[in-house]
Amino acid sequence: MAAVGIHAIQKSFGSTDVLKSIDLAIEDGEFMTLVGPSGCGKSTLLRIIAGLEAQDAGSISIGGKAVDDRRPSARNLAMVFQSYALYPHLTVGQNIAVPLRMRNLSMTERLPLVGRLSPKAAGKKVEIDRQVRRVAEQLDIAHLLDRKPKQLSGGQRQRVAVGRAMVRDPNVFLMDEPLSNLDAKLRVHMRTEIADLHRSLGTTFIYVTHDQAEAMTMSSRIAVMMEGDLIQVAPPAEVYDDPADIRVAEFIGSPKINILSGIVTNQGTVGCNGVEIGIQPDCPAGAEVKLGVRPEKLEIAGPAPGRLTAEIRHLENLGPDMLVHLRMRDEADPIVARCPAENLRTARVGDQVGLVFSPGDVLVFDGTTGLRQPSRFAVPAPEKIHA
Amino acid sequence: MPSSDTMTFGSAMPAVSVHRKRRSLAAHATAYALSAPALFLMGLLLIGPVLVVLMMSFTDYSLGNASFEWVGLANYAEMLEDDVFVKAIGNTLLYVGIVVPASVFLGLGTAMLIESLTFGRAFWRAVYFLPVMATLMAMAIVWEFMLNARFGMISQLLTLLGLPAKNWLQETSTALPMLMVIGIWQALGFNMVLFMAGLTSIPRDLYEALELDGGSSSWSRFWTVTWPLLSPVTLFVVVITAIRSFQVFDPVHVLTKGGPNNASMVLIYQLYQEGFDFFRSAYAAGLTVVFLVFIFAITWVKSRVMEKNVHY
Ligand SMILES: Nc1ncnc2c1ncn2[C@@H]1O[C@H](COP(=O)(O)OP(=O)(O)O)[C@@H](O)[C@H]1O
Ligand SMILES: [Mg+2]
Repeated sequence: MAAVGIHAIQKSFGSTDVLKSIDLAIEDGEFMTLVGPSGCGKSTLLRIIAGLEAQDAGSISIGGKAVDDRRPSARNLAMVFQSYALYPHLTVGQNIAVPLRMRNLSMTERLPLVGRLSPKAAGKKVEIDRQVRRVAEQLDIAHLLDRKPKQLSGGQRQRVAVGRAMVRDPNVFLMDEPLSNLDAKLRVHMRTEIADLHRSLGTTFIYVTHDQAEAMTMSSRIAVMMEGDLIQVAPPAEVYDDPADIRVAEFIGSPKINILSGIVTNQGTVGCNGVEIGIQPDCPAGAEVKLGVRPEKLEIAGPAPGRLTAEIRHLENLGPDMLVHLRMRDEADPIVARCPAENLRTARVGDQVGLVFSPGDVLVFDGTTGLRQPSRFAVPAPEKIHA
Repeated sequence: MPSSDTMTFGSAMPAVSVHRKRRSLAAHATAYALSAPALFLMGLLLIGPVLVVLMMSFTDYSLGNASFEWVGLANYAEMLEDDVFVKAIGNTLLYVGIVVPASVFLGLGTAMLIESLTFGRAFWRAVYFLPVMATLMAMAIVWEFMLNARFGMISQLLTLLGLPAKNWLQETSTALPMLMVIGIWQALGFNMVLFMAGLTSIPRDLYEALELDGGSSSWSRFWTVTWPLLSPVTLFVVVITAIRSFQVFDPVHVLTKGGPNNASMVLIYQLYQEGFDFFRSAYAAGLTVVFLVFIFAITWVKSRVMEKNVHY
């Protein structure tokens, strides 16, 4: 168990800057998820923490000590690779035993013959077998110990890879998209298992994924990465409700947040599609802003003057809820609202409807930089305006 | 892995078995019809000649004769008495026994060395592969010059070092070892290229996983990842090199003619002499059968080993 410090880490491959000075403090026992679109440098950062890749500048510390000059094997980390990286010629049991054999047995003790002749080595091997069995039982793969990786399903391989990581007591668990090779149902199931594993081990986890749902469901904190920069580090709820940047708002949440363009009026409120929205961002009059409203915060109502109107393009029934896909005049992107299904009994594709939302649910972003703008409700703040 | 779906599907079949049988008969006929051209060519070009050679080895036919007699196993009985044959078999086995391990291990070593270089890989690859590309006949002549007792490079080098120069290819004790050196030199590049292909196909992340698992020495990298994952390539290389070494002929023909005093006589060269110098076709056919038995044995061992190593 250990805290991990990432200090001003930079890395370029050739002329592309993959990591542009990353700073991140991961607390002891925390489940930290690095999330971001493909190619943003998540794996590179994880590999630098592991020591598999050398940084160009900056420093990594584990348990308060700089480890930059230590080999990966000396950092006492365990990693689950995206490909699982199981040794194809070894059985499941032998795969899980490798970290113990490498660390606890000397080179000669690992030879098959010496192991049988020396009582000391034999004792160690019995202990290794015991450990392997313990981990296998914990992960429900004890019946697979004699199989080769080729004979396992994706989910079973994933468990073996986890078993190999947890058989010794590493300081930190590193996981690089460990669920991306599984089918959708198993992926959802394994999210719970990994979260449980983290709870029961209490070890620091650093988890890399491009899937925002994984990040939201498992993490203590999420670090959102874009193009080699960390743009927000916060607990899942905060990243969702209070995104620091329009890119974070757009990346986190499914279906995606709705973005409308608006212009700050002379009264300080925002005009959007000819309708005045009752919020006052800290922006000068005439400034372009982007308004973000989560799909579940949008309500469908009848069209009325002074209300944003849109046409229903498609209705997607999710059971309890309905996803309403809408098209608004003058907006390039479609709008999605998520409403309880019973509110939409009479809605039909092609209907013109009004959109209702509370100004308190509107996130305002700067139109050019994409940064979040603090904003107040226009006075008097109505409980729910019909914009 | 057969899934349970396909098994239930299979057991449901008897209900429609009559229908199925007729259909499968038709399917079989089509299968035979489609593979007939290939089977015909295989019979004509591979199995036919082997059968002819086998038949001929039971006769006393010699090239140019109008007729022949069946002599049963007489040719094979003669081999057991034939000092040249005994010598040739011994030499061939010795040649294979030295050239195969040496060229396989040197090939693997060279491949790993070159792969570990940061630059100049292409150059060294070309250097070691050159002997494979070159015609062995021409290369044999180059070796003859290098080994020449008076003006050969190697002899001059030895003289310079104060060591006695020899006529390497004409001495009983050194003729066969020299052929082995040439054989290793020639096979090395080919084996190296195969091992290189095998090395690049080992997933990088296995080494990384091992590194995190605590195996950071080159010793554990080699024995835990490289060697086991190369085993299919190694098997292939060993088999190919063994078969090629059994067939050694060109350098023998150009450099020693099996001499001096049969010291470098090998199976194929004896076969050539019996068949085309002495025109004893039937005896040569018998030698060919012996040669084929060795090749079949190698192939058989290979498929047995393959069966046991099914891990990927
Ligand atoms: N060894 C490498 N050589 C060159 N470019 C690399 C290398 N590894 C990664 N990259 C580049 O760095 C960027 C970030 O890669 P990566 O960290 O794997 O992204 P992610 O894991 O977030 O998808 C990508 O554009 C990728 O092409
Ligand atoms: Mg990645």
